[in-house]
Formats: sequence, structure tokens, C-alpha cells
Amino acid sequence: MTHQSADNDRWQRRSFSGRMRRFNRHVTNYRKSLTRLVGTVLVASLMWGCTEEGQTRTTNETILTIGSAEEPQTLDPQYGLFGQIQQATFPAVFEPLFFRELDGKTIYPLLAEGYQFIDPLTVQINLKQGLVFSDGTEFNADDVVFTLNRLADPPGASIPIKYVTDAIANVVAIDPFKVTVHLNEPTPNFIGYLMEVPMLSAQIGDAAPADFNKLDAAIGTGPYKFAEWRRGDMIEYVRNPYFRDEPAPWEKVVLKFIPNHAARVAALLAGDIDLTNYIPTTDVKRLERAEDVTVTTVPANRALYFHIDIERGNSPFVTAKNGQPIENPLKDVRVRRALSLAIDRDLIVEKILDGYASPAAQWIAPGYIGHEPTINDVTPDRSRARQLLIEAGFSDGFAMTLHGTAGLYGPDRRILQAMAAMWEKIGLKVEVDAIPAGVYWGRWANREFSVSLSSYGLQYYRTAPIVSVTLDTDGYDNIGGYSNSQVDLLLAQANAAHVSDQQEQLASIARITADDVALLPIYHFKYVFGYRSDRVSYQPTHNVRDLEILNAAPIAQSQVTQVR
Amino acid sequence: MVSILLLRIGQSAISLLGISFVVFASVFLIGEPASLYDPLVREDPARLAALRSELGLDQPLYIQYINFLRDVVTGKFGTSWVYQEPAMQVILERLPATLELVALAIAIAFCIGYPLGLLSGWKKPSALSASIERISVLGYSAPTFWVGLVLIYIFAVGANALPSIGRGGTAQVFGIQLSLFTADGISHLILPALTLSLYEIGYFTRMISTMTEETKHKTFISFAHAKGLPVSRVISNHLLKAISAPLVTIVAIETGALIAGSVITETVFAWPGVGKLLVDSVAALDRPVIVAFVLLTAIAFLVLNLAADLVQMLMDPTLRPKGVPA
Repeated sequence: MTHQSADNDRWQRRSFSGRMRRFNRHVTNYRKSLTRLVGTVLVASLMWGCTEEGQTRTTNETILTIGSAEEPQTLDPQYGLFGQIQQATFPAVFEPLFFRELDGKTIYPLLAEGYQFIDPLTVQINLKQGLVFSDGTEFNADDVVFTLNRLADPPGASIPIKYVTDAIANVVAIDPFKVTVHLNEPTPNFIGYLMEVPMLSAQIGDAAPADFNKLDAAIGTGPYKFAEWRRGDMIEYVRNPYFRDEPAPWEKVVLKFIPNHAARVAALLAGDIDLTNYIPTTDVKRLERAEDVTVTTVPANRALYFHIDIERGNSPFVTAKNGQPIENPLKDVRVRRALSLAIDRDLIVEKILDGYASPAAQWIAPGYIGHEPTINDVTPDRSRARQLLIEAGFSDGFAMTLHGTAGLYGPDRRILQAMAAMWEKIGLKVEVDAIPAGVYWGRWANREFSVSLSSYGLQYYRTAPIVSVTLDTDGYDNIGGYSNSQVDLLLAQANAAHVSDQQEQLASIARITADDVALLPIYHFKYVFGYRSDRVSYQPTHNVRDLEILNAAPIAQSQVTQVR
Repeated sequence: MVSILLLRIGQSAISLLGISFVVFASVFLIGEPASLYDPLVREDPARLAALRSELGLDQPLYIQYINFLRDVVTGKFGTSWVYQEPAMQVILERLPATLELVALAIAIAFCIGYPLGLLSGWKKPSALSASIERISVLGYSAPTFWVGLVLIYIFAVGANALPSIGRGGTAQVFGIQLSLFTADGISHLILPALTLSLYEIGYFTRMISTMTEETKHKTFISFAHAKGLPVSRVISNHLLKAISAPLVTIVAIETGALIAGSVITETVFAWPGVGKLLVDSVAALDRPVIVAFVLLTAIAFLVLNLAADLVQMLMDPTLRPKGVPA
């Protein structure tokens, strides 16, 4: 009996727990082999992947790596808003008919051979022969006609050079290398305007910006062409095999997008990039101390200034200190002068901008066309400002909100706060509203603000047109509504003259508008570039903020030692 | 099981609808994208009107929303105003970069946080456990952008050992370009993944520490001790199983949070992922991309949660609805 039950037990064990044990062993074995299999697959794919990767620099290739703070939205040079599009496309890939020397204003023919004004309304442009696009097709007059027509009405949005498209009535190709441009009005600076128009290939037909982004339509005559655009990461350029002159100095150029300023500076210090701009003023000293890094500073014709609501009887953000609406005090020139006298520009430049700017008494910077040397006093005078306020009838002061961008122009928020504090010292109550650029400009253009920040880079041929749109009574950027018939007359005269003859009118305009405080300029920018002197030698074009690939030359290879 | 799945999917769809409406309404109320799109429209009302109608901005809000929903259901998320390409394509181009960053960050956080948390929880109360907890606080209080920059300065600028910015060379893996499997790619991944994982290390450590501490006093653990099992077996065979179920949920939620919250790290390291895309799109008021991104993140969260719940149900029989076999 016991024997049988023992046998039964054993039988039961074998039939259940024995099976469980065997099952567990199978599971363990199965798990082991599965783990081994998965592990092998992973290791194999890792090794296989390692053999296929993209490599960073080697000593053999000359590669220029540029760190850019902004990424263009498209590679279509006729669609775009700011310098990001120009530095990415132009003139490294697309070239204009005429271009400027390093001084920023001397014109030389690039794709054109020459020009002549047959009469004030007609220009004939002769093109160079034998030029070829990066797809092998010939460059001729058809491309010029196509480009200028497309500029007037591009698929998508257009670049803000309305003064160029407004000037052109129509363009005709007389023979394969001669183009006649008929103008709407006498435009003596037209050739200078053409400096900003890169030539496209007529072969692209009705290509839209998306076609440029895919690189299908991005065909230019320049020394480089696009190899790849990895969104959010970088643009890669290679040499254009059809370029007319000797090959470009760099085999490859990489434009890396690093929006965080501190990270970009760190990348320059680490040698991950060779060249960059938009260096925060607090980091410049660090870069100057570093060996192998050179910092170049260029005083620019760009001011940070404020529009003041001069026109409206009731300004939206100006009230009495108790909140009651009042008659707009900004209409009184004495109040505006008081606002200007209360600002200590030297202090702002020294403390907030670390000296990388110059205090501005007028809109146009010294040394540039339209600058009036007698207007140079930036000494603050708070007691005089108080006095002016009292004379204007505002001994109790008033309340105001100051509007500006947040982070678009370096330490703009701190500048706004400093200005508010300075105005409080003369008895005003000031609030600051710093708004991100995407939202700010729309509202600014709608004239929603009373005192609002703005800035515009003035190029040599672009000075008079920009001053017009800002200060002319009908100018579309005349946010404050400033209106002075004398200024309007002077502007008309300036725009009808060649740039070299505009000084007198522009200087008079500067005197009148400074007296009227039409705008409130604070400082003139200094563009700061940093580059690794062990790899590259960079010369910025005067008064240009963009990074220009063609201005960077490699240092002789024998001096290159560091490779990552 | 299937009915549960269907119920959960139905609930998720309702959540998705609510989210889409909130996002759509809030983006609509901000800014005037037309003037950013083309600055010339400011002085030309006819051009502005034409542009607004082309972008569909002149329709009443509810019609724009209905059009949007219809497009979403048929798979079109609209065309990005900035890139002139389908919004979903713009996002999917950059998704692999973010996903590999998040994957590595979660892996690092898990590998560091799990053992630390176990140690801290098991040894409570003790000096070791207290110091681990204090250090973990640093993990989730240090601001990401600062940590990232410090790491760059130490490893890239100072030691010159790792690259400071950008993504490394990629290799094609199952049709997707990933930089996880290339040596150059990994060297670029380390610093951003470390930065991103810091918060999670602190979080995981504390969570696991708390759960371990709660579980170690339970009866079945005492029983395991009483049986004479060594501590390592008590932990590996009994404790881990008990805390794994809620851990799955936590990991799933944190993965979703990292996908959505990698923005700052990506900006600091110039990492070409969807986080940076979102920042750029918000700055440019590129509404189609913003809405598509938020919906994508919402879907990711819901899917991750659903997966976490299912895995939990598989792991823990007590969580299964009654009558459902294993």
C-alpha cells in the first residue's frame, strides 16, 4: 500500500511538478537563446551602422563650418524676410548683376559687363558671356528678364524691396546678352538697387519656395551650390563645378544652426565652428582672451530707435497717472525733447551693452551718408527735462507704457527697463511691455503702441528709400505719424538724386527730425564677428551683419594641427 | 480584452478632440501671422485680404476648426506656412532625432535611477539613503539650460573630448536615419541625453525609493526573509515584481513628457528635433505645425498610457478586469 502510494506520489510529481520543472527549464533555455539572439542582432546592427556614418573633418578636406543663429525658412532668395536668407544663399550660390566691394558701397559688375542710361527712364545692361549655371545651362538675358518679372510677383510672399519692383516698368531682352529696363520714374540709383537682386535661372519656370527647399530650383551661378539642407541642423555647400573662375577656396561649407547664443560661443571656443556672429556682448571678452580666436568689430549704420505717437490726439498707452485719459502729451515737442534728455545713453552703452555700441544722437551713424556731424550731443540733462515737462504743462507727469521686443536685439529687455527707470526719474510713471518678435511686429505695424521700439539696417543705396518709408507723411513704416512738409520735399529731392548727391538733403532731414524728435534713437550697433584664426581669415563687409561665405579664406594647411 | 481596448480608444479620442479644440482656439487668438508671412501686406489692404483668404484666415473660427478636423481625419495636417510643405512631414522629418535623444535619456535615467532608488529605499532610514535623496533633489531642480551649458563647457570646451553641438552622422536603420548606431552619432548624443536625463534621474530615484520603502515592510517580504532567502533574492524575486507595475506607468508618462519637453535641451545643443521645431514655429506663428505638433504629442501620450496600462494588466493579474483570462 505504502509502496503504491509512494509510486503514486512519484507519478503525480512527474505528471505535474515534473512537467513544471521541465517547462521552467525550457523557458529558461528559450529566454537564454532569445537574449543571445537579440544581443547579437543589436551588436551586429551597431557594427554595421558604424561603418556607414558621416565623418567629421579630416586634415585633407578644407571644410568651413559656420555657426548661424538663425535658419532661413526657405532657400528661395526672393522669398524671405531678413538677413538669414541672404547669408545662406547670396552671393555664394546666387549672384546679382552688380555687387559691392568690401567697403559696402563701391559697385562692380559681376554677372553684367556694364550698363548705360539711354535716358533717365531707360537703362541698358550688357551681360557677360560664357557664364553657366550650376546645372550646366547658359546664363543669358532670358534669365534676367525672368528674375525681374518673378521679383514683382513671386509664388509665395515677396522680399521687402518694394522700392526696386516699384521702379521697374518692364524688362526686355534685346539680344541674348543685352537687357533693357524701362523705369517708371527717373531712378538714378537703380544699378545700386540691383545689388540686392540675385539672378535665378529661367529654367525653373513657376517653381515655388518649396522647390528651392528641395534644391530642385536652387540653381545659381555662384562659386558654391547646395548639397544638402538638413532642417534644423545645417546647410551643406559644395563647389559649383561650372563656376567661371578658379574654384572656390573651400571644398565644402557647412552652415550650422545654433540658436542658443551661449552654446554657439562655446562651439567656437571648442573648435566645432570656425566663424560666427551675434555674439552676446558679455561673451566678447571671453573670446578675446581665448587663443586661436579673433574678434572683429564693425561699427554699423543701424540704430535702435523708438517711434513716438505724434499724430493721435489720444494715444492708447498714455494716460494721466490716475488712469484717466488725457490729451496726448507726446504731440508736444517739448515733451519729446524731455524724453530724449532724460535718457543717459552712455550709461546704457557702457553697462548693458558692455561698450559694444555707440550712443546715438541721430538715426544715421557717423561716417555714413546722411549723417549730420553737428548733432552729436547725448549728454543727459534731467533738470532741463523736468523743466520742459513743466513748461508743457505736465508738472504732474503722466503714465505711459513702453513697448519693445523681447530678446530680438540682444539685451533689449534690459534697455527698455533702463529707459523706464530713467523716465521715472523725471516724474513719469512708466510700464514696460516686452513682446516676442512674432507677436510684436504685427501689433507694431497696426500702430497699436504709443512708444515702440524699432531698428533698421541702412545700406548705402537703401538709405533714402528707408528714411522715406519711415519719416515721409505717407510712409508705410511711419508708425508715429510724423508729418513735416519740408521733410517730405527734401525726401522727394533725395530720392530723385544719385546717392553721392544725397548728403545735403539727408543731412537737412537729420537736423529737422532731430529738432522735432521724430524718432528717439538710443544707440548705434556694432557688429561683432568671431572666428578661429588657426583655420580661417575673415573680413566682414563694411556695415553688413550677415556671415558671408565668400569673405572667409582658409589659413594655409601647414598651420592646421587640430583635428577632431 | 478587446472591449477594454475599444473603450480606452474611445476615451482617448474624446480627449484628443478636447485637446485639439483648446490648442486651435489658443493659437488662433495670438498674433497676426499674415503680416509676418509677407511684410508688404501691411500697407496694402487688398494684398492682406487676398493672403488671409489664401491661408484660410478669413473664415469664422468654427469653420476653420471644422475644416481642420476634416483634414486631420483624412490625414492632412495642413501645409506649414513657413516651410511650404505638409506640416506632418516637417514634424516627421525631425521626429527620429528627438526620439533617439529621449530613448537614450530614459535609458540613462533608468539605469542610474533604478539602482540608486532601490538602494536608497532599502536602506531607509540611514545616512546613505538620506544623501542619495538629497542629491536627487539637485537632479530635478537644476535648470536644464544651465546644466547643458555647464556640460558643454566642461567636456567640449575644457576637455575637448566631446562635440558641443549638433547631431552626428546618421545611418539608415529600418528606413529611418538614426544617429544612435554610429560612433560619431553617439559622441554627439551623450551630452544632450545626459542633460535631458538629469531631471528624470532625480525623479526615478525618489519614486523608486518611496515605492521600495513602502513595499519592504509588507508581509510577503517578511515571509521571504523568514524563508531564509538572501537579500538579493528577496529583492530580485519579490520586491521588483511588486514595484514594477506602477513603474511601467511612470516610465511611460515620463517618456511622453520628455518627447514634449525636450525643447530647451534641443535649443541649447542645436539638436534638430521636434522641440526646436515647436519653438521656431511658435515664434513664426506657423499655426499648422504648432497644432500638428500638439496633436502628435497628445496622441503619443495617449498611446503610451494605453500601452503602459496593457503591460501592467499583463504583469499584474489583480489589475485585470474580472473574468478576463491571462
